[in-house]
Amino acid sequence: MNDLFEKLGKNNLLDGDNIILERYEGGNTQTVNKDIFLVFFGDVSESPTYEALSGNHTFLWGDPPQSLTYNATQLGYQGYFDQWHELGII
Amino acid sequence: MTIHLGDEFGNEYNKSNPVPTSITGSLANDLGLYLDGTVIAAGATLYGDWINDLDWVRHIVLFVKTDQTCTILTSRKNRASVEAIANILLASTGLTGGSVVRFTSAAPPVSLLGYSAKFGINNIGAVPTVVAQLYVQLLGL
Repeated sequence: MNDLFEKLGKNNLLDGDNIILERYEGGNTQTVNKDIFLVFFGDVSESPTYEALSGNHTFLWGDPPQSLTYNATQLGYQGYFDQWHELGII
Repeated sequence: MTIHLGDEFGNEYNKSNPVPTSITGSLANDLGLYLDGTVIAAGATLYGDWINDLDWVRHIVLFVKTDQTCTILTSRKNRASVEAIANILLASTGLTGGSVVRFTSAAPPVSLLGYSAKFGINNIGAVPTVVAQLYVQLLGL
């Protein structure tokens, strides 16, 4: 996943430990912390391709932690992965 | 100066958490911020832009409307634009539906906000939000 983070940084999509998912007018941003991103998508950290990121992911989430399985669309990330794919990041 | 509340939040504000409905002073003593995020991905945070010159803030009132459990965060910078503390938790008490929170702390808000601050809605649900709105009222009295 470090390679992905490096590419995001080169595309001005990193702010410290946060991945910039979207920039809005007026300076608003939507970001996700790298550690949170790894909770959802760390299962494909060895090879975070577009196809792998878009698929199903099983992760622990909540308090108390529950094992959940969602795909990128259900998690709300597919649109961002599509953009990264178009940019050649993944 | 009257505090203008968003229509979505007026009822909750008046019913469960009364705060002064008018204050006197300059514009700098009453600043309202509005964030409308609609879709926030699971685990992601919608941040507003940085706001400067916040030394005057004495009270923070938060109005939250969301369909997922969210927390409200703030990041701060000092006068040298050094981001000293990130992601201070302002509110986390089951913020689903329409919630009104008056932020309270042993430390005055100005010590949390520093010179510059930005506010954010963090979706801690496992699915994206459909509705995510945050109204922040900064009061100088």
